Amino acid sequence: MSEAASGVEELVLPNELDVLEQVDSLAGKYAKLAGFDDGPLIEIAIAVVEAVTNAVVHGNDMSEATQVTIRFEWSPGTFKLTVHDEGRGFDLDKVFDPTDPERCMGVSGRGIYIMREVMDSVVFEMGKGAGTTLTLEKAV
Amino acid sequence: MKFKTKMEGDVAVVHISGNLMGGAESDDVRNEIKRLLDDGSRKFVIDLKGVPWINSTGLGTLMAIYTSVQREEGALKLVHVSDRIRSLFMITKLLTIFDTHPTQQEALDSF
Repeated sequence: MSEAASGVEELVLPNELDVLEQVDSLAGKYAKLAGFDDGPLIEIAIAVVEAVTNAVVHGNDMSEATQVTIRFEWSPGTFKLTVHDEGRGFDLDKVFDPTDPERCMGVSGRGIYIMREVMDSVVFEMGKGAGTTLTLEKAV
Repeated sequence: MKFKTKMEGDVAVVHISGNLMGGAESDDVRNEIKRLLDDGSRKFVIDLKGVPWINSTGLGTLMAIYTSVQREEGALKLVHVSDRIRSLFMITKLLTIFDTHPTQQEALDSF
């Protein structure tokens, strides 16, 4: 029996980088069900991995005492991911352009840039003490 | 993620397997390159045949290795770069920074 082209899956994951392989696999699976071709599908998987990396490393500061909650939503022609961490958030105005010639050889600071390059919408919601929620969306 | 180093003449070939996504294992690869530089190696090949994908943290590891090797006037080649890793290089506009080759032999011949 084929899987539905629309659906929702929510996962609460331990705050560790090892979850990225599971997340990557699910992103590819659900983007495919939504009807994305190989090229955009790879871009979605790249963005999803960046979103969860950001939550684990920067949001939750690698703390094993925290968790990351992710929610996939897909339907024909659309893909959406929500990632929630327990961190204090950050100042979006201080995010630099990693392709700037003076920054391009740096070893960090590319995650948000990558997500913005490949997704249609990248929205951060930061509330005092409530953690950070990141929503990524892309349409075919 | 695991890695092993093999010397091919004066070229240090570092084979990586598993996704390069940051953490202590990525630090181990950086430290391995530093050790090889300290021991006098200046020619490096990183074989990514066993690496399906990397994230921006893994990309940072490659950038750190590239910078370390450049600082010592050495050369770094990447081989077996997957389509997905190449996509990440393109998105981040780093495709022209890395010298990539389809096979290990072609990389070795290019020194």
